[in-house]
Parts: sequence; structure tokens; C-alpha cells
Amino acid sequence: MIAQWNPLPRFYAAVDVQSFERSPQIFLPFQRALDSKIPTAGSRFCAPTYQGKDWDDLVRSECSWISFWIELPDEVAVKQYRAFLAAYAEEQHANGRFNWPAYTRLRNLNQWLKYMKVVPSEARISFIVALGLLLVCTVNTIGLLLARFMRRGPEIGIRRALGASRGDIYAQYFVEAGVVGLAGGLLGMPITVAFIGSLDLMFDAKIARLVHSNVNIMLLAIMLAVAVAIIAATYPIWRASRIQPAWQLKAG
Amino acid sequence: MSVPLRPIMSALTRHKAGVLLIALQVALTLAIVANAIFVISQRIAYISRPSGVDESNIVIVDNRWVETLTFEQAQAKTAADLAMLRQLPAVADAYADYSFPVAGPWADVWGISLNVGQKSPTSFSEPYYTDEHALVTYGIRLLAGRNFRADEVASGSQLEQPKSGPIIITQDLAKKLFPEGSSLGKTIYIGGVGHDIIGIISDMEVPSVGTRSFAYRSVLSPIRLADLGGDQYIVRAKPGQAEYLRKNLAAALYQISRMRVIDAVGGVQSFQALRSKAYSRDRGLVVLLSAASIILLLATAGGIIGITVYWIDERRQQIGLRRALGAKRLEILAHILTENFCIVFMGICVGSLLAFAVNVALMHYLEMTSLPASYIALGSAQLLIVGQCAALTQARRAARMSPMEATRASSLVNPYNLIVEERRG
Repeated sequence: MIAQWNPLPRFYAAVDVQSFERSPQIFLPFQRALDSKIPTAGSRFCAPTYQGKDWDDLVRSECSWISFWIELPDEVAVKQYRAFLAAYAEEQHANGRFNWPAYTRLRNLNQWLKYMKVVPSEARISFIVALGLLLVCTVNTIGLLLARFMRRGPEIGIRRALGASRGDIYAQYFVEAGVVGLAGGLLGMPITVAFIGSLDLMFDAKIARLVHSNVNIMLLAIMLAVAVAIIAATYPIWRASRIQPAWQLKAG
Repeated sequence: MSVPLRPIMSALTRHKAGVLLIALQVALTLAIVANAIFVISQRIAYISRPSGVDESNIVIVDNRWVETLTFEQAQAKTAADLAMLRQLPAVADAYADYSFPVAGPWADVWGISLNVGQKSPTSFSEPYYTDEHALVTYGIRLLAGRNFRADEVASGSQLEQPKSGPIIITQDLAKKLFPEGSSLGKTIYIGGVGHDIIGIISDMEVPSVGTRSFAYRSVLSPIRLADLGGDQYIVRAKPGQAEYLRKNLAAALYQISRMRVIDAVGGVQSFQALRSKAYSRDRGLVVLLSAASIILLLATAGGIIGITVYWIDERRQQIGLRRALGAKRLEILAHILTENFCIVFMGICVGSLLAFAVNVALMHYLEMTSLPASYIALGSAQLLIVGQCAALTQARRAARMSPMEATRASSLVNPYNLIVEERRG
């Protein structure tokens, strides 16, 4: 008996486009599966001339229906194994088993997932859209903070005239921007939770299941909100700190 | 009424930072929204493609044998199931296949050639393994030629490529293979084996959902499938009976034999449910991109409102003075709206270029085609409308200001002027 084992995406099922299914419940030794002639349920690739019908025909055929996973200890072993594969295919070709030139590839797990295009393009589009949204909202925040801070020219003038240094002004407004960011981040929390909860309305339930809200993600989101607000505030604050106290007081 | 362009321009050059920020935001929004609308419209067109079959009346059973069967046993069991299904009063017809249109779990791909020795196939296609019942089961129209006869259908497994014999193809495939003239009676080659086209059917989608280049190039091959693990039973209900069948088919099959698994949840499903599930990713993307576009437009509107409020407050005295000197409310309104138009237009000019750049970048990473200019025009129109509406909410407030109120000494001082003066000094 083992604990639940379901590495997602299920790299070993990528060929069958079942990367995000639930975990298998029974594991069999491969030889046992062969001995009891359990029908295969995965993809099978056969030559156009293949005429077999039965399970026995399949096992004896040149159809490809088994994925092999090899654990290799280090780079040297990878190199050796790659050479072995190439030599083996070359030899089989020379013996006349295959009528096409040897073509062997040895991919590691990440290369394999990439090659099989396991991550759906929708996920990548979503990521790009999210970045775009963040960028536009940052520009938006810069504009709004600029208007907000410049409006308070008189206040800044008075504080400066009463002895506040530029640094004091910086500190005050950076704290203010940080608080705005924090408030935004906190307000965003319930929206995020609601959005993640309704993700299965939009996406495949298999994919939606992968996303759930946890404390780390929430903290990360709030920190991102504060960081973006502070970055966005930099230019407006610089402008505000340039206000000359004398002009403000004279005009006021 | 004339809109004074010169004061607007000089005002804009004075507020460089604010103007540039809004224009930049408009540009970025346009770049994203134009591409988003493009993707949305493509996906909607894709989702709403007709499958070509009688969707509302088809129910699909996923039947899995639990015993280890020989091919002959699987064949006999499948035949018994189908005979029983066809006898049911609510069933119009049924057949067994490894897959079905659009939502099929698997798909074989066949290369179709016009000659034996052809290097690369004339067209790709995806097959259905059918018998003489498939046409009625799907409700596809026969446009030319005839259906398979029972004696032409051979038993086989999915692994087996068809031996030479009759074949039925869709109109789309026929047009691709033989652009001029009739394809009926012609021979096509699959894996070097010749097949005679005996029938042309109305367009029917292939089993795999992502296939966009040969979506309607299906082939009906006369192979009565009996996979050792079990098959999909495609059952067409008599009108209005689909829901009844969906609930009762599993029980009827279990009565013949209990040595099978029909999943309690996903074992028997309506074609429509399966189709909807097959497109769930695309639908999700449409919802997501629509929501993102609306949020972006709202954010841009918010940005414009925020900055307009500030500019109007800053110019209360100027507006009051103009009103006192006889400017009509409409002129104040027009002034602010024109100002907004100029800013948004600047943003649109930059944004159009940016939209094309984003599109080119996306084409590298995703299956995207080049963005038609009409989507940029559509996005631009949206932004102009949003910009004008956002500015209008504040411009109306400004126009309502009475000259008296506006000229009253205000504690609000224009910090921009101060900065300008500071620079001059």
C-alpha cells in the first residue's frame, strides 16, 4: 500500500493526452500485465501495413505502445545511454528491422513535457493577459497618484516651510502609497477566492482542480500589490517633492 | 460654436506627464484589447462550428469489458449489444466506434494519397470505423453515391488499416482530393492500399477537437469495430427520447452481461454534454479574455476620470472666467471632450503599432494568425467611446459650474503653474 501518488502533470500519460487525470489506484508489475494479457488503453502507433487483430499480435508487432522511463545517475550516464540508443537503432536498421534511418531522442522530464506541449496554450494566454493587466493598472496608478499628490501641493509646501525635509515628504508619501497598495491587495482577496472558486465554470475541471487558494499565494499577491503601488508612486512622489515651499505659501 | 484648439494644445503640452500617462495607458489597453477581441472572435467561431451530426438526439455509451477476450469473443459481445440496442423502442439506430465527432477521446490520422507511390499525402483525414448503420445513427445526408452494404463491412480492430474496398468520404475531403469533377468511383490510397469512393456525405467533423486544418475531412471506413477493451456505442434516439436513453441505457446493457464497466457518471452521456466539455477550455478563454478586456477598459475609464477631475479642479477659475465672458456650457463641454479626444487619439496611434507588435510576439508562442486591422479599428472605437464617456461625466460637472462659484477665490492652487514658473526662474 502506498500513499497517493499523482505527480501533476502526469508525465507518463502525456502521450495519451491524460496529463491531468486523477491518480491511478492500482499499479501492476509490467510483466504481470503482459502475462495476464490486460488490454492496453493508451495510444498505439502502428505501421500502415499492420494487420494484427489480437493482443498476441500486438505484443509481437512493431507497433509502439510502451513508454520507457529511465533513471540515470549523472550526465556521463546520460551521454552513454544516448550513445547506446543511437548504436542500437543503427544496428537494428542495419539488420533490416526498420527501413528508415535511425532516429533516437533522449529527453529529460522537462524537455519531454515541453515536447508534448502538456501546458495548454490557454494557460499561457492567461499569463500574458495577467501581465498586461498588471502593466496597465500600474500606469493607471501612476496617473492617479500623480493627480492626488500634486493636488496636495499646498500641504506639501506648508510641511516643507515648517521644516520637513525632502526625505520626510518621501517617507510620508511612500507610506501612503504602500497603504493604498495594501488596501487594494486586501480588497482583492475575496475577489481572488471567488474567482478561483468559480474557475471550473471556465476551465476544464481537470485543470481547475490544480488551482486552489492558499496562504502563500495570498501573501504573495498582497506583497505584489504593495510593491507595485510603491513602484508606481516613485515618479509622482519625486514630482511632489520638487514643489517649492515659498511659491505655495505666497500663492496661498 | 467653435472649439479652441490652440488653448487645448498648449494645455496638453503643459501637462506632459499626465497626458503621456493616459496616452500610454490607452495604447497598452488597445494593444491588449484588440488582440483579445481577435482571439475571442476566433474561439467563438471555433466553438460554434457545427459537427454535422444530429447532436440533440445522440447518446454515447463508453463500454469497457472486464474480461480478457479474444477478438472473436469481443466481436460477438459487441454485436449482441448493438442488436439489443437497435431493438429498443426509443432507439433509432446505433453502431460501435472507437471515437465520435468533436469530443472523441482518440483519433487516428490517415494520410490520403491519389497515387500509390506518392511521397506526401494530398490530404490528412481522420477515420470512423463504421458499418451500414453509421449514416442513420449520425443523421448525415448522403450527397452522392450509396451507403455500405452489410456484406461490404468487415470485422476488424482499430489497429488494423483497412484492406482495399469501398469507402465513404465527406464533401470537404472530396473537394480537396478532386477539385474538379466528381470523386465518386475514384480510387484513393491509404497506406498504399487502394479504396474506391462509393459515397459522398455532407460535412461531418473529425473525432479530434483540436484539428483545425482538416476538421471536416472525415472518412467512413467499413470496419465493424470490436476492440478487446471495449468501444463507444453511438446511439441515436428517436426524437425526444435522448434523455430517457441516457438514464436507462446502462441498465439495459447490464442485463445482457454484467462483465463490463459503464462508469456511473461519465459512462453514458449526451452528445451535447460531451461536446460542451470538449470546448470548455476555449469557452474558459473567451470568458477570461472578455472579463480582462472589460476590466482594462474600466481601468482606463477610471484613469481618465481621475485625471480629468484634477484638471477641471485646477482650472476652475479659468472655466469660470470663460463662462463669465460669455462662453456657453456646451463650449466648456466641447473643450474638455476635445481635449480627451486628442489624448486618446494619441494613445490609439501608438497603441495600433503596439497591437501589431503584440500580435507578432503572440504568433511566436501560440497558434495565432496575423491580426486584421479591423480589430484595431474596433478596439480604437471602444476606447474613444469609453474615453469620451469618462470625460463626459466630469465635463458635465465642469459645465454646470456657475461663473460666480468658479471665480470665487479658491484655496486650490495650480501646482503645475508653479512648477512651470519654477523652471522659468
